[in-house]
Amino acid sequence: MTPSPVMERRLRVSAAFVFLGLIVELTALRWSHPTAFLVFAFAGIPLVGAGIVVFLYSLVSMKEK
Amino acid sequence: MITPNTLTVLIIGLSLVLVILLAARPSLTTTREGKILAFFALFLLPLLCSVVGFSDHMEHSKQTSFCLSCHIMEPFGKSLYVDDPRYIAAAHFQNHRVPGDQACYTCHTDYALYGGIRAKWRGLHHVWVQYFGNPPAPEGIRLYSLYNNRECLHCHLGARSFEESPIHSALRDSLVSNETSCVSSGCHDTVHNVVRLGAVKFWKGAP
Repeated sequence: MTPSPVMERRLRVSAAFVFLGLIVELTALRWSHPTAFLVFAFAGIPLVGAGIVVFLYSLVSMKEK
Repeated sequence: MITPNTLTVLIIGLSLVLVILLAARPSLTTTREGKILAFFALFLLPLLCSVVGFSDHMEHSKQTSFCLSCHIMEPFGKSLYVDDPRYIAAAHFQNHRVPGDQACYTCHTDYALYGGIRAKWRGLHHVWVQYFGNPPAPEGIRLYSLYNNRECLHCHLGARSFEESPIHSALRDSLVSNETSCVSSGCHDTVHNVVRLGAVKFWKGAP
């Protein structure tokens, strides 16, 4: 059994956002500079947040069989 | 021993592995276990990473090296090594009256409710000015308002060296009420004094 193509695409989009966000957060954590905080707060967190929102949306929009 | 920073990196690493796994095999989510895995990988762990990472950044921003990593702050960092006990910031830093690794934050936070948040907010404003405003020259940097004695008395009030000083005893009430400023009423008015850095001797630091 495989998930519907729509669900699969949403999961991948969510994973891509979360992946990018986590990479940005990881980079910012290894960098000791005030700019790193800005990158973390204004790029890393929104990207992870977008991934979470897409994932939650994919759950609530899933059609019952 | 695992430090909080290492732990954060480990959690992010674990999240990345799970996210890659889910992106490569979305069919995993058809099972109950796969759904739970997806919930952890795409919701709980990323949320945890962001919260822990943010807290890590907030803690890290108290470090002296963090404040001095901005070019504009270099003279202020240099002033901590002035070989003259009249330089208040230098005397505090060199004699460990403030923790050396949190020297800036210890004196420049507000010892009041939400003082830490206000200090961080000001720091964020400084970064904003650095990139999008017109940052002043180091010697042109001024405090937003007169330095509050509360920040000095947070440590000094009740300390023997403070209490036994006849001048401090005589002025105690006006110092506590902030009527007489510790740093701008002629007593301890040499703080960083970055304008005069070219004409002073420097301590080489602890061996």
